[in-house]
Amino acid sequence: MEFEEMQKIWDKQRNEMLFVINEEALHNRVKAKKRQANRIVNATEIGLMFVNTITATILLVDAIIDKEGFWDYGGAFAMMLTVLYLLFIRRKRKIAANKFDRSMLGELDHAISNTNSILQLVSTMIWWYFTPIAIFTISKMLIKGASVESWLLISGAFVLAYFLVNWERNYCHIPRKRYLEALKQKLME
Amino acid sequence: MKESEQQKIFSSWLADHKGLIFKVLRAYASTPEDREDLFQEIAAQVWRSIPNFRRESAVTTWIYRISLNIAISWSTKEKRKVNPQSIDTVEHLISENDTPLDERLAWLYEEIKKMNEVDRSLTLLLLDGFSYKEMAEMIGISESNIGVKIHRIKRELTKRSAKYQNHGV
Repeated sequence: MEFEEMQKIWDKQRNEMLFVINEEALHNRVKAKKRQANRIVNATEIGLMFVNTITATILLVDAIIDKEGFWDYGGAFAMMLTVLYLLFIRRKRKIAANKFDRSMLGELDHAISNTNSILQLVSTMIWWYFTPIAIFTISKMLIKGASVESWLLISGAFVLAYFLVNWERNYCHIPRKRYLEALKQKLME
Repeated sequence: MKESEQQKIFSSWLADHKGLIFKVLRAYASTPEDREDLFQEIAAQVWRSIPNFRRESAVTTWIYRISLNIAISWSTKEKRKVNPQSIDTVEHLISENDTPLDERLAWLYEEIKKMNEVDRSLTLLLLDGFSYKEMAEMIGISESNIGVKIHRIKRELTKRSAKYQNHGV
């Protein structure tokens, strides 16, 4: 069969509808989807900023009440820095969203850039988020003398968080980035 | 833009161009659940895109571009596991028409489905009569690159059709 013949077969379907739409259900779903748009990303960013601000406030109040809490002041300051960093990342992401053209290649570049942002955030999180918090927490526990249970609990929480973040990076984001890059390669070759 | 106005445009776009969305669904999604999921994604994106439509391109081109972009990114995502019970209880967005598909058309769709995501898009655009220039703008690569790809697709489809006819399937 020549391609022109395939074209004729294809054209015949124009008047035949393959599916029937339930318009009312669709309208309801689209409205729900609209509300849901960006909810996950926003919830992660805003949630993290909220939790860090609350933690910073608690540490600050603790430091003021203790009157000798250098580690609490330091911890509160480090926490506030993470909030500012998250604000910066969020703003960068929003500006970048309008930068890409609407072609397929543009959309792919956008998706790759989003994945890169997440990877950057995850890598930054490990070194610039967990490490200072771990240092402040461990130093405070050393100075104030924590029980064995506290040591086990806190160390376990840090190790678990470290593995979870790494797992997410290696098994979700990196394969997705590779797939998108392979797709871009297919588009360009 | 008022929501009622957006809704009006959405309904009219859907009425006039649902055919092309269905073609994308058939080319990218295999099961009814997947088609439902992809259709929902495309419809939501078409809805969101309405305030950004500047009439620089035809509505058909605009909707095709959105549908193909969504279909490609949708197919890169890990498919969620669908609970069979929930499928029965949830109100369906689309149902398949009872009219049986022409056997040769069904074969053509199967062949398109076997292609990679990019070639699938190009084949749909080619079969729907888009020019190389329009395709180049939609895909974001040069016209000459489009030409090379189209040549390869046509050659491959013709070769496969010979096999199909020889086996009399």
